[in-house]
Amino acid sequence: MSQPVLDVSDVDKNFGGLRALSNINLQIKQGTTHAIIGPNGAGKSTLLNVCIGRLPPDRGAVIFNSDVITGRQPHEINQMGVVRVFQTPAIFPDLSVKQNVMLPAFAKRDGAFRLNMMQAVADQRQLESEAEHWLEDVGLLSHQHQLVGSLSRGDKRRLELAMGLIQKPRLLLLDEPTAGMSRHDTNTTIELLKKIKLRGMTEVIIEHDMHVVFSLADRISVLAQGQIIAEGTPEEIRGNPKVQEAYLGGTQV
Amino acid sequence: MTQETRTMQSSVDLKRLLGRVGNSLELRMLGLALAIAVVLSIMSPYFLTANNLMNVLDQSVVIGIVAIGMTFVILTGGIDLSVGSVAGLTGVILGLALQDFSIPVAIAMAIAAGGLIGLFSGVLIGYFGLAAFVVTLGVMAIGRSLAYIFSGQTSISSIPMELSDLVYTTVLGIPTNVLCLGLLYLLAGLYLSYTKGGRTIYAVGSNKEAARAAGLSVLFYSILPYVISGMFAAVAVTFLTAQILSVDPLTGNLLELDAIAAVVIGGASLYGGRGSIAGTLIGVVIMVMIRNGLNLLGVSPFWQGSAIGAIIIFALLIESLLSRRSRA
Repeated sequence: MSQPVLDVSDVDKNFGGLRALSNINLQIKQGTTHAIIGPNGAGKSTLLNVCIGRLPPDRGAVIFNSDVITGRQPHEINQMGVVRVFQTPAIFPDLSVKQNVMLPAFAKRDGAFRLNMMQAVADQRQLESEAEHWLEDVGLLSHQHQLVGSLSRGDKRRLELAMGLIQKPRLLLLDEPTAGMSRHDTNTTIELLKKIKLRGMTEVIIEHDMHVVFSLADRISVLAQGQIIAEGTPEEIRGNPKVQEAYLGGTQV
Repeated sequence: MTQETRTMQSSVDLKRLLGRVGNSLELRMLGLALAIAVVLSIMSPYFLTANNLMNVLDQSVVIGIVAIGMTFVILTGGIDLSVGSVAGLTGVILGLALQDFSIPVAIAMAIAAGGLIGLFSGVLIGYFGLAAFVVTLGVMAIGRSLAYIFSGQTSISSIPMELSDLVYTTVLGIPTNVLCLGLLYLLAGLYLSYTKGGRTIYAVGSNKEAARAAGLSVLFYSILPYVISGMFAAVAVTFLTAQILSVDPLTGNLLELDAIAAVVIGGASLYGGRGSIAGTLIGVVIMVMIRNGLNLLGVSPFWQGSAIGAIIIFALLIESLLSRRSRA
């Protein structure tokens, strides 16, 4: 079996007296979509924040492609190829749609001090066409000159995905990609994520909407009170009585 | 792409460009600047003479250079109240260094000192998360106090004559200080629009969280603008010193207010993320033109503050009404 893309091993995280994560072990394999589900407050977002370096774990390590990434700066982890798409839209409201998508590409391209302005101006066109490519991919090309503030919620999510994809991630972390969306927007987002998955992208997805989870996930981990109480294929999770009790709570899935 | 679709594409581009021109804050402010120029040239026959226009540019150099640094800071959502006193302190450092070192070394020392002071403010603001207003207010007080102490409370007037070459040498009839101003605006404008650093400065001011998600170093680019601002304050005071060949510890008093006013008139949002170098340049020219015009018209200097304050508020009010309408 090949090395997992992301390997979370023995992670604990406490907030004061509250044990937010307890002995978390999680392996994400190349090319799979792995869903993390669980009731509110189960520690899903905390786990994600540990993976991207926003929160240091109290114990344990996160290994990405056999590099230990615990303790690194969030933007360094991002540069290594771990890209997240947030629960609250992480976009730049003062900039146009296209400028938004170009920003992460700038982050990849230049060093901190680039003073060859002639070259910088000449390179701009290439960045723009790259941005246009990804906007077309998520179906936002016709909105490229709009200010982001005027986009619908679904379109903002799509924009964020384009901003994630332009970074050519090796691992895409999605925090509730369809939260607050209409059924129609949810379905288009599922189709889009399926399309991305077919290209071989490894995805970790945190989601409440079971329709989304069972449409996309190859494997599911169930988190409750900071612990992983079950892990398996969607079929196994659906039939697991422990999961039904802790989370699904008798809801029809 | 066929010829036909290409023509269609370019006509769409043209329409969009025209739309943007009508909506562009910079162009509205350029209109205001031109209107002020027209009014002043009607009221005073001297205003539109080549000599006086060169005067306007010449008077724009100091506030213009400081306003570049201020634009960087304000774009990140910060503010730098210390530029005036940093100009004073680095001016004193320049004056003292000129006693013992060659001109280029003395200038480099002054600019390095400005950068260090900016780094101090930047780290407190970017790393420790203190409020920019309060930190730079403190640095403003410290800077002015050190300027008095280092200078021995008097002005330094033994400045080598050669320093004035910075101002009085001309290239193609344009004084070097005005050329430098133009060059710095060009560089700053390109930097903000076309480089990672420039785009990150907008991104940090617009949404820090999103900037992190995009893989941009928020910490570094929260600190950098203060360093640039401190260095540019030193560059500005170098040109000022070259002009008057004397440094006073009070140099640069209230310069921060003129610079902030110019940046804001130029359309930058004090919340960060919005603004441009072109806008700042227009803001600077508006400020200097008004002051120059009031002088030509013989308005008492005591009334000039009221006039400038009223024009700043009026410009922002009009802008706010216009943008509210265009957003609705």
